[in-house]
Amino acid sequence: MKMPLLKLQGTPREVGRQYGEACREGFRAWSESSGRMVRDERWERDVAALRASISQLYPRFWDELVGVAEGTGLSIEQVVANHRRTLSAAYLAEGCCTNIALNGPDGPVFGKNLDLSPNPEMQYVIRDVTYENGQGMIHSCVVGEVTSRDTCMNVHGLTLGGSSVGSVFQQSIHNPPIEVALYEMLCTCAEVEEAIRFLQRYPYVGKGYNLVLADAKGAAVVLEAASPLIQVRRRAEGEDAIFCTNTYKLPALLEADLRPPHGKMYSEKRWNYLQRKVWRERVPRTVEQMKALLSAYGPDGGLCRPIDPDDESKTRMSIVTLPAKREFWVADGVPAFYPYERVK
Amino acid sequence: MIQVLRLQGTPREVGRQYGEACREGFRAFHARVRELAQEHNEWCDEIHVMGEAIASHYPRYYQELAGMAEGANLTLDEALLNHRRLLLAEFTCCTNIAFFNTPAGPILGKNLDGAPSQPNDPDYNFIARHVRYENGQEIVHTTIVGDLMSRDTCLNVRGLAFGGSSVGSVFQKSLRNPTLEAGLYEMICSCATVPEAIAFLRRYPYVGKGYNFVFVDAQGQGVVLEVACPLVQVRQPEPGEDVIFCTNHYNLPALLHADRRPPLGMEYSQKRFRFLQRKLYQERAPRTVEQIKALLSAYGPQGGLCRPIDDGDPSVTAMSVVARPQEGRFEVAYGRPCEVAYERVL
Repeated sequence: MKMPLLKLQGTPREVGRQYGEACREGFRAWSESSGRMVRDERWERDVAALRASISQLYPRFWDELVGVAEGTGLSIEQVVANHRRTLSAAYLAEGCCTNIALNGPDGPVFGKNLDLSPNPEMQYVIRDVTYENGQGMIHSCVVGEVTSRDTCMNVHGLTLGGSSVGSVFQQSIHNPPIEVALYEMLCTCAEVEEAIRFLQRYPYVGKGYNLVLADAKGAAVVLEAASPLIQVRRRAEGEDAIFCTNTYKLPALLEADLRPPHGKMYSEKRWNYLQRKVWRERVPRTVEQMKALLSAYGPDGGLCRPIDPDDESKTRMSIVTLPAKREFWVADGVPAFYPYERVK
Repeated sequence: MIQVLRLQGTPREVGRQYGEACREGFRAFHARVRELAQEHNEWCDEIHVMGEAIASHYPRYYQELAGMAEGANLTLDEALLNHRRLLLAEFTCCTNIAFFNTPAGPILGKNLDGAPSQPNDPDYNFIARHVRYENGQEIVHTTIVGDLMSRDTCLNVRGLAFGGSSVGSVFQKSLRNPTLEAGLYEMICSCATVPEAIAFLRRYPYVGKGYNFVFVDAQGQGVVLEVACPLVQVRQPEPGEDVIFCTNHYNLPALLHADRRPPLGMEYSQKRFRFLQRKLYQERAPRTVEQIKALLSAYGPQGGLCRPIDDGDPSVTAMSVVARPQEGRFEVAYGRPCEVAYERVL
């Protein structure tokens, strides 16, 4: 695996400092790139509002951001501005992921392809974090951010994988960012229902995601988080699998996404592929089958981008976790061509 | 005339005075709630979750509920059960209008329309409460005897007024979130302006059945909050317009399918909305107190707001309210406003 694997430990401030020191150049490049995005009075007000809501509602996360600033030599405003970037509409086009949770002979299995639009700026790391309070997680993260929304498994096996969707609803910058709440949820919760309760406490500002959430006991849901809303899609009765792409499926949210037509078409292609393979053909619920699904592409459909010549996205990495066994596997590239390696 | 209660003190004292003054009404309301609870076995467990959410988010409101229970000689669980009833999908059908800038200052007008089953329903006794809290806050509002709410119509001493129209919500809700009724009440006890109220209400997701609310303040700022629980969204006035209104459906594009109105209810909601569009946007009816009363009293083949508007209309207007935030004036016509005069309560 070429992607850096960072092992970090200590208090949130210490973890942030270690992360910042290890990725100083990446953080600074990301910050410069954020600075080239629209920066006006409104952006500055947003940064101030984010600073207030994060520090008040999620003080441990705030401490980690402070540590990042110390480790990178950036100002805390620059670090928060990086976080502000995750809320921007321009960021929306970047992500086109698929997430799946199955229950099988190996216990619960989670799989995810992280797909990006062409020429993405992002550099990724895997962070393996052990906090001083016994909590911890392993997750993929864009260098320049502290987020767990892409893929994350915590010490209890609770696993999260997100697919970008967008949200038509008005949001308030004075509400906490969903990225922060997700991170704090994974630093706190052990099971799916606990996580739902944690997340439903506030309305959120954020671009809108589908999030597969699976735990070590085999519970799994999709959170359709059309910010500021958090709605829950549960497995169909009798089903042992649930998945999401880049469109909402709850009837109340069918028109709540912000996907452009081409993105929506490929979201539906992957959704239809999974319906066929998982619900109708009932492929085996094994780790190998999960990897095969994530690696599939071609005329018969698949999840590995580009699926066909018209597909504009490319799978950047693929991750499989076994929540009950706390295993975390990464294919650092298109999974059809790169092997999965166990990093935890 | 509507019964007016003058209450003062801490929330607990105010609640106790209210409960004592309306003990029979509380008990009658609760008797009906008990019948409903037999069809909703889950309520008895839910009220504890709901009570915890109210107590942790809005402790003053919770204190007032506790005082009401003491005054009405109900247990706290029984008072919470009354509150639980408000989350039911029962529908009322109100109209709310705000003029931002008239010779008399901003004006809020509202017709409170009962659902078809309600006009003769003894459960739905309304009163007006004029409350002075120990911390200097002061409100006047209408409420159903048996519970504590401000969502129908309320004006506070700082010049903020609002009125609600029931709509419903298709979204999932959590009883661990505070009830919208409690959030609104605490908002009107805290905020002075429309922007303050919006910021206050956006802090949490809410459990509740879903409403439109017209807000207007003494400075002439007005909006409609489209509250498809747990979501709070804001509909701003049309560009250049000096008026805003709502009936029983959402108008924001993102919420066009988020209501729970039955077809007939939706038809009459649209009729009243179109009547207001015509009168206020096209014919540009004068922005005066008399005109808002005339609008609220209108019915017949030309349309109107006073229910029943026509022979097919199943609803009946139970009362009409006109509030003037700058003057702190609150008038109620207790009945159909085409038949009953407005009388000043404050």
